[in-house]
Amino acid sequence: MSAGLSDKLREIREKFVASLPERKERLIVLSGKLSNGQCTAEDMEELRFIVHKIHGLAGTLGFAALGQNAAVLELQIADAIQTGGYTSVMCEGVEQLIDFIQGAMDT
Amino acid sequence: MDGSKYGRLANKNILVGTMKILAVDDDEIILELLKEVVAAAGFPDITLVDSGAAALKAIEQSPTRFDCFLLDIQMPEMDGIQLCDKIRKIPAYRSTPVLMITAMADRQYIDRAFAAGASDYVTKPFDVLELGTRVKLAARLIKEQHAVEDKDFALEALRDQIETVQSIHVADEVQIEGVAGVIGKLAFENYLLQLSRGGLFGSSLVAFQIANISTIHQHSSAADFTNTIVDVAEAISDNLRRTEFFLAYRGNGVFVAICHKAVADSFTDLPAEIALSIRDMELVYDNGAKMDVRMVMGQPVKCGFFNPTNTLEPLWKAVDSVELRAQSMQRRPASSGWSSKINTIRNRLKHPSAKHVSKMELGF
Repeated sequence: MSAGLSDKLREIREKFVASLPERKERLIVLSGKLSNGQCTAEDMEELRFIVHKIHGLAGTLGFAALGQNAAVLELQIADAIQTGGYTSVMCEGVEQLIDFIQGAMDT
Repeated sequence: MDGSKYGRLANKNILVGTMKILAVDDDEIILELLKEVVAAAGFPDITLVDSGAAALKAIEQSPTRFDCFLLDIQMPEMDGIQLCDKIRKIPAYRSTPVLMITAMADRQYIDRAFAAGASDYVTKPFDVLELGTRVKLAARLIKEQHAVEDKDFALEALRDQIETVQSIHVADEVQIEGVAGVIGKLAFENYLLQLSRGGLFGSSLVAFQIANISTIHQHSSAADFTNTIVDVAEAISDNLRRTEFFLAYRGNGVFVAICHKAVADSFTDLPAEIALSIRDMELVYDNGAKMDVRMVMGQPVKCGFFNPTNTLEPLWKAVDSVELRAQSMQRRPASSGWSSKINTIRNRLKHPSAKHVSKMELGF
């Protein structure tokens, strides 16, 4: 990989990290709704959207564990949307993802 | 919008070392990433838009044709698959490479993308170097397409002077449109490569060949030859409908299908059924002479165990198998009793209790 591309990727990675607090805040709100059983269909779609984006970006930008965690959670959310219900495993998955995001922000 | 907007030879960007790319993703970080990766691969002319609607507007307003599309699947309102379908409906973009770049790795999405006309499929997270390679491959495909277009253009100019023009080589890929399940040769290979990453257990590859393709080619005009290939594709497609499948034409009269959920006897009567469909089409040459299409089917190849160093190995096995059978069939004289055999088989197919049709009866 050329030095020029490496530099650009580093910049994009920083931009991704800078975008994480906002994503994390939304996830915290949605996680709270999940725990209280107040998650609407729109909330679930938003949750899937946020997690999907993290899944797509994190691995490419060097956050493999965060990306894998998001990938597994995305499947669980898709399943929950399809079946019309969500599980405690999924709620734990959201909380775990929030921790991974914090980890990425701290690097 | 149609292809004439840009003129026949208006956009040859790729021939002078650049490629005009349109990337569509609703995430600005991904767009920036794509821009840098693609530029590093040697293609800096990239337009970035964040939705399907914006993409269609960019296409409409662009003074020159785009050479390649990079589409995300998961977008609000119009997703990347719907966008791909709309792009393919624009005549100028019927064969332009479309790379789907997405985190959706399920076969359901992969199938929908290729059915909508995608040429390749890259899953996120992607390796930046691999993505660059995929874009370079798309550039190579465009070069080949332009070479064919130039040849056709030159031959069209001669057509008024020469009654029969053989502008298609027997080995050329023929563009087949409007036949269920048919995708391009390279798209088919990319589809197999993509699925092989997730496992293809339970899927089978099977190849078909028009054994006397050289004779048919020799006696056909270009249009006649193309129509024959499309008709045969239709006959194969119609008879594969009991499975989930994709079919591609590889040139030289060879077709390859990947069939999902095919059971052991899915292929048993297939050769006879295809032969009957073709016979019922009553194909003729331009001069009205009857066209004898001699079909052969190779041994189906199970795709359960891909060799990681050669993920297309089952494809080559399927093709080798049909080519061997076609060669063997060509050594035999054309059957004088063809009609009576077909009728016998037609009767047997009408009566399911009858024993399976012998492949040898049809030369399969």
